[in-house]
Amino acid sequence: MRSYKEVFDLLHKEVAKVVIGQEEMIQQVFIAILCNGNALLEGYPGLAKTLAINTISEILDLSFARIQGTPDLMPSDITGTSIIEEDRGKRVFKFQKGPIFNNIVLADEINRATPKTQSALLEAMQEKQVSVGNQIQKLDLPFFVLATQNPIEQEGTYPLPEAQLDRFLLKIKVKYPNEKQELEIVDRFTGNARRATPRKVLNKERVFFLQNKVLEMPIANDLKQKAVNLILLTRNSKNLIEYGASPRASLALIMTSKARALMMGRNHVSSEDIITMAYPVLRHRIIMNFEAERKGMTTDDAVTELIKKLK
Amino acid sequence: MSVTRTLPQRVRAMATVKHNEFREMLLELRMTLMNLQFFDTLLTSFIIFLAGYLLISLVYPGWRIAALLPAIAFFGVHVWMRIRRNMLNDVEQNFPLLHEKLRTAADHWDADNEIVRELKTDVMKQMRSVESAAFVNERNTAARVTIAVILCFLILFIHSVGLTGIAGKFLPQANPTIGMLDMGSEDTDNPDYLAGGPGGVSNLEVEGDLFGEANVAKLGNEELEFTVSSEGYEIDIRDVKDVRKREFDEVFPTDVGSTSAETFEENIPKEQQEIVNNYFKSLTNE
Repeated sequence: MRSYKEVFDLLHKEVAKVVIGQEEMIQQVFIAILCNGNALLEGYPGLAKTLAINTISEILDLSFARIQGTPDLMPSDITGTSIIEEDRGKRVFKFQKGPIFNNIVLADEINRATPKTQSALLEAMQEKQVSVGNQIQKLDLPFFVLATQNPIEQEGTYPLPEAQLDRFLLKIKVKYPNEKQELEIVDRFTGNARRATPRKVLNKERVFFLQNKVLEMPIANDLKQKAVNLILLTRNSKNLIEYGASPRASLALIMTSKARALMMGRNHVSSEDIITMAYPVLRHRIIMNFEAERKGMTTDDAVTELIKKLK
Repeated sequence: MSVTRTLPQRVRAMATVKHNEFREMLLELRMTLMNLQFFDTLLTSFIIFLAGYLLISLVYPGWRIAALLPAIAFFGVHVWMRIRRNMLNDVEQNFPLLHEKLRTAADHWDADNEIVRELKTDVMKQMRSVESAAFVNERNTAARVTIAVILCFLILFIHSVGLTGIAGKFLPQANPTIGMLDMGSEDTDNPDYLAGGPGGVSNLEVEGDLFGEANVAKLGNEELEFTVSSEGYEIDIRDVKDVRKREFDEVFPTDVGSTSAETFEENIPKEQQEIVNNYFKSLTNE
């Protein structure tokens, strides 16, 4: 297991050559990749979300595309479209692949795109395929969508419906760097020092291999029960939560806990993994009730309360 | 055989050996823990029995067998709860290095992959430092053994000085008079019988005045001594006194005497007696 930890330490080290701080965000993005899931990153502009994801795709040696969510973005802009091409004197339709045909797709400000475009993206996320005309196009695997959204400036946005939010394995909160990190950012990007380029550490095959290892990670039955009980609590705590999490949340919690255990170099899942992963797994899957919102509670506060209740 | 085996077969065989080793280790660990917990529960149950026995001996000696009930109930419930609880948690509590590892490995004892194999090897290595003494709370066990010994001595003491059945002396149901009056087959000398033990007289449904006046019944176990007066057959228990020894110091009067009585007899000659007899007979016949 030490070898796995060394791999992940190396990944973090390579990302840290470009991105300063944001260790938690980077760890959770890796966890989403290991679980073959998609992640929604929420944070203010300028917190190196795009840079981090771009760097991760380079390190993993995966193809990368970025889609900027705008109100006039069409589904065909994402999926691709059929164009007429001349082939030996004949005019034929040829499918022109869109940016979705990459391994890592960064959907920047997904909530600015129209619901129609969002659903085209979400179909790709769930089914790993796109429907164009009467054709179904399989996507290249591994395929991950890392979408971002801005918690401010909600005007002119189309907030993702709950059913679509549920399809994101994790909702990762991107926080501001601390003072020391901010100073380092300033030094690195305002000087004329040569910027380090990250090395490729993994490739597609190794990503698949690690994904299989996550599935092999053992978890004790009582911890599994604990994770399920936490999800059930979200449905039964009507004093805090209006709508609880779906069974997809149970799957996500167990899977991400396994992935975290692998990243930590452990050969078993611990309760610490479950508690840590409960926040990104649940924060977009529960809807607070009016009373809790009136008190100014966030979904993270609700998760904290549920964890306390579980103990 | 080994020559013909391919590498994956050999690897699988090795894994199976480990697999069995781990299973045996788990079985041994569970048996050891179960034995320790069984002893622990048995000791506590024994103390409960002794305490119950002592208490019942003091109050109702006839029900001493009832002391077994709470002890058996405690034993049953405790064993059931212990079986239900994951015993491996106790090991993990005592050995933090095995925290969550042991139960994970135990839950996946039949799984076979790289990570689980490593986990099992890791657990087996750390299990070498696990000693059964770690699960025995010496101070607690010693305290409980001491309590059991003290209770045993107390039971012996109360039996030797006859402190049993105190309640029988105070409760109205325990009436020795009833036992004495009943001359049936019951063992009326048995204090249990009089104190209301199984089949005792206090358990009978008795009409109010069947055995006499109520104030007599209240005498309890006090021993009565009374003497039947030579002057009469009626006894007044309230007027019973000690027997008086009476000596006659007067001499029998000398002037009192007796002589043989004289009878009147006529002097009739024998030959005339028959004539007289015949005369009186003839008078009778007339």
